[in-house]
Amino acid sequence: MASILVVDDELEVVSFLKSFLSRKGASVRTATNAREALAAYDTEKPDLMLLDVRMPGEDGFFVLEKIKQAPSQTKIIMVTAREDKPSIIKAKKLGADDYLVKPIELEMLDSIISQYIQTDIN
Amino acid sequence: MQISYRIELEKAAHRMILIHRTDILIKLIIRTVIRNLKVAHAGIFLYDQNRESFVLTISRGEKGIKIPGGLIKITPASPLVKYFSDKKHNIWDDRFLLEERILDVLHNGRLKDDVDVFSFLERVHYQMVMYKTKAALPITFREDLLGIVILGEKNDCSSFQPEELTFLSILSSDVAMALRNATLFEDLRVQLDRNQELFLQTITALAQAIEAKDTYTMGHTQRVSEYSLQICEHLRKTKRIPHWDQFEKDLKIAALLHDIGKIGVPEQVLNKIDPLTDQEFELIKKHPIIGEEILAPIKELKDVIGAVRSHHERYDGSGYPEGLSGAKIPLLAAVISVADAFDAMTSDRSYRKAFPAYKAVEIIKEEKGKQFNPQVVDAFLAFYEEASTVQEL
Repeated sequence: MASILVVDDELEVVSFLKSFLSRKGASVRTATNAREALAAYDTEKPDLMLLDVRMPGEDGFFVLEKIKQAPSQTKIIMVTAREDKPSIIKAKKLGADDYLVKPIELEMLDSIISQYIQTDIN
Repeated sequence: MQISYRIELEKAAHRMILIHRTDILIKLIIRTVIRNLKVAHAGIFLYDQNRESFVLTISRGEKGIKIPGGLIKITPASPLVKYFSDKKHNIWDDRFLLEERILDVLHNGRLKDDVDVFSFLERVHYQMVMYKTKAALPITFREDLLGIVILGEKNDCSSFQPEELTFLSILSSDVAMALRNATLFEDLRVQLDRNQELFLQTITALAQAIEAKDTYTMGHTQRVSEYSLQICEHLRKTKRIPHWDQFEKDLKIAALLHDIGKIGVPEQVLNKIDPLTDQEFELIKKHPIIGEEILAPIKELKDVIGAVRSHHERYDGSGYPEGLSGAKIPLLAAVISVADAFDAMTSDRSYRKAFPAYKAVEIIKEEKGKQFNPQVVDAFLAFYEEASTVQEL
């Protein structure tokens, strides 16, 4: 089963995405800040990570940089309301695998996820 | 229709009258839907012009099932939107899209010869499953699709009843009305802002026409306008200014236009290097009156015109064109007069070099109660002090 880590400071977002991805057959862990995210990453080494940028304390870029500094199998998709070019370029430079701007198309998320991991449909 | 629905609809109609904020109204309507139909979640996709898509703006429901507002969008090309926006996709007579009906068609093979419709319905269904939607209905005003209401499963897993669907469609037309009203108000506001902007730009263009004649006054009107507004900000702290908003608007316009009358003064006089003869000075002294005459047809600018006419009056009564004194000089003119003098002294002129700012300030202080209104001078000094601490001047 594919494992996914969802990181967003909004609880509603985290629980909706968790429910959505679980329905697709993934095993989902969640985190609501950078510290939790890095701890969960260390223990889980997930196949995929959905990562928000703006969070209280250290932001998503910090998490991205920390993880991508070392060799990592985890694909990281930024899911953020930030749509400015510098943020997108920064994410790319730090090693993000994809970048989705909120509001997102769920179909898009769906197809990106299938692209990166083999989910057991339904 | 059941009594309770009728009561709810009457309440909704009431709210329409009382609540003008669309977001609040829609939240209330969603809450009404959840409470009465007992569904796991409900939400509204609203058309967002900037994103050219439908954004799930408001939603309510149980944890994990509720789709957070602002997280999800669907494009006009997506099947769910297409179903409602393109009549040729309307398979059922009423406005409702029900999962039950779709499954019926997909499973009983009724449409299997019509491959296009069949695959379209499959795609619609895929989207409905993704959003855990059992029923959806459009919010339309005339032909425009303004949004889509989505509903999750009912808590007792039963089908939606005809009276529930009627209830929903009446609520959705309420939402359409509210959205339409809000959009009209917004358009009106934007239009007014645009007109105001256009007006200010026209004024600025006029002001630049004066500067084109008088090469030494490049940027002068713009600066006088800025200084005037700053003085006014400080003046407001010590003096009650009635109809403040209008005063500020008038001040900005009057400051930009104060020298418009120089259009009627010969260029060789305006740009003369040698001292002016008495006759030439008389010509210069005409510019406030010429300005007044130029602007006279614009009835809306009555106070502005008064300020243009009187910006060379002096507090002690020795100014021109009328020799007004003290409180008889309009406050707009008194403010512009100080701003104008300060900028004139600190800029190069055809006949002399610019004074340093501190020197100009000294002169303005000396002229307090003589050339200038004392309260305006105090406000100017407060502005100057503030500006020099942040080194703007």
